[in-house]
Amino acid sequence: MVQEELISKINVTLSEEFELPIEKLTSEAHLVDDLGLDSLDAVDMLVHIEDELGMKLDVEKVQHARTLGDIYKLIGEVSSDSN
Amino acid sequence: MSKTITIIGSGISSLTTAILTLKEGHKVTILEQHSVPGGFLHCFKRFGVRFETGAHYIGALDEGLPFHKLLNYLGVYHEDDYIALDPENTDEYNIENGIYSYCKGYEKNISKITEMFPEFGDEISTYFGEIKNSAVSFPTYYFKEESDQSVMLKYLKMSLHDFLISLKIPKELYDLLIAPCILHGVSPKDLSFGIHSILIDSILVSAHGFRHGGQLLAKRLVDRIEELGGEVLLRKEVVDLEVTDDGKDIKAINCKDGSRYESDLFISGIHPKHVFDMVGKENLKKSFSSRLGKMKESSAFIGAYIILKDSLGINPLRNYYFAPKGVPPYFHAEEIRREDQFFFMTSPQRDIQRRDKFPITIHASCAGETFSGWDLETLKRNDKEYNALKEELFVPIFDQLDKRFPGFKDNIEKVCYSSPLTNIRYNPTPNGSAYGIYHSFENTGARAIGPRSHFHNMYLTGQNTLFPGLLGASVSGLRTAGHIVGIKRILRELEQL
Ligand SMILES: Cc1cc2nc3c(=O)[nH]c(=O)nc-3n(C[C@H](O)[C@H](O)[C@H](O)COP(=O)(O)OP(=O)(O)OC[C@H]3O[C@@H](n4cnc5c(N)ncnc54)[C@H](O)[C@@H]3O)c2cc1C
Repeated sequence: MVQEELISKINVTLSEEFELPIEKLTSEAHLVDDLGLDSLDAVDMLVHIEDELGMKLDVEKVQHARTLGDIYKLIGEVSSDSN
Repeated sequence: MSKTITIIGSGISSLTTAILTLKEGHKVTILEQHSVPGGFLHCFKRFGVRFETGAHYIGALDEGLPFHKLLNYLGVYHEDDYIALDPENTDEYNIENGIYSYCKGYEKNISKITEMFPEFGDEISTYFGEIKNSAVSFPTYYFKEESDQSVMLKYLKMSLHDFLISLKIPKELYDLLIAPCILHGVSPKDLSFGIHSILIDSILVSAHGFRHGGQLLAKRLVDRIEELGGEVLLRKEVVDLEVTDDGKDIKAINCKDGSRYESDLFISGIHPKHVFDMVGKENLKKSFSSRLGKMKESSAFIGAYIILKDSLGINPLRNYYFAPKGVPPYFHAEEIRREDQFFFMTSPQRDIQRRDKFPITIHASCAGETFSGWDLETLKRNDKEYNALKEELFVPIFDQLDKRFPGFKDNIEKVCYSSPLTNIRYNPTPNGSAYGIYHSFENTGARAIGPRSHFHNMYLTGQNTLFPGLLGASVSGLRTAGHIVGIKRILRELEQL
């Protein structure tokens, strides 16, 4: 699991960059249906998260993510790998 | 159903997309700001000689190889337009530890380099073996309708630096193998091994120059477009893109001369930063425009166009690269420093039989801020300080060339220079760079911008959406056309050629 701190950092970035209300950013939020993001947004999202957290994510995995929870999980995997 | 398509810019990518969509029955109009078509394919005349702006040589052009197939598929290949570079010595790299010359063919390079590093024969074979393995795994390089892309994906994520480190080779061998980064304009830590493999493969399998200049290829592409019913309009500088009320589509394009173009689809073959500036920040997703703003630019460059009194033994069928203090650690505009300067020298008249003069061209990297004191709008041709700075920047370069070709400086009969501002005037990129966006792996592969955009009816093409180079830009045009007309059939037809 990703620590609370990382999640809140990601949420602040996503809410700023994608102009989304922060309360909508929950693990269950569906990227397409709830947040209105599309496949092109996936790469933009990845770049902003990488910049914020200073870690590298796998593009294909981010593109396959369905919910924000999937993204949190990916970040959790990367941050525990690098620990 | 036939659609109307407006394309911004007439670089090789735009011209490629135009032909491939015209072939499917669409109606295409290209808007080019310059008075000549072709982007970096265009040439200019000085001292009675034709100089190239950006097209010095072409890889993978022997029969059966990717560029040969693609140009044939576009209907523009003419054997006599090209001249094979010296197979024994195509690219000469002058680096810190000495000189190495790439020659034609994998085996020859493997044995030449193994002679220099006899204890590392296996590692050298592994390097070249994986270059081939990786290059053939790209479906839009060795055109394949279906292919196993696992090798490609693996190498798009690995840097050239990491690959070489894994081989555990000595620094001198490492330096030799990264020397072609001067050509890519990306440092080995930022460059994916996959992209590197395509460039190296395309040079090793065959290298050609233009016999009559890149402008002839531009002309052939434009002729083909007109033959298919398309049009290329010159002196049409696009200054604004209108967005529909719902913000989802592009409605029309406006040019500086007041003309307006509506169409079903729009394709931008120019720098993404420029085209999205014209769309207007207010019409873009913030997430996208802030990402675009963060993208680094490749190094700006300066040029010297020279007539020598004597050939000095310079082989017109060879390209010469110089990184006298070692291949620089950075290549992007923000960090490139004067002391990291690297440069290359080519001959605009390749054909020895037709040579009556000894013209050469030198292009050198240039620190981003160097020319920031001038502005295109107010710059005068005879601005003394501006002209003096251009000359000053070439002093250390001419010194280097004098060492390699004794008598070089005394043999300069005529010379004129270009600066990043020259490039901005004739072929606009944000900082006058040669290669547009810095093609680190942050900006290539699945992370690249384009060919699709956030607007349903707008596509992107060009070196910034894939990779620089004539082949890279042309393939980007193919990929963009593929999004409109379907890529599978194009690849199948190319595969069968
Ligand atoms: C110095 C140098 C050396 C190079 N050497 C080689 C080489 O040896 N081999 C090789 O393969 N590649 C080389 N390249 C790279 C290669 O030339 C380019 O990657 C390729 O030509 C880019 O094609 P493109 O279609 O992306 O865009 P470009 O060729 O840049 O075309 C863009 C076009 O858009 C037009 N345009 C821009 N803004 C507007 C506007 N607002 N309205 C209308 N039109 C507009 C421009 O005038 C231009 O015609 C070199 C490049 C440079 C600069």
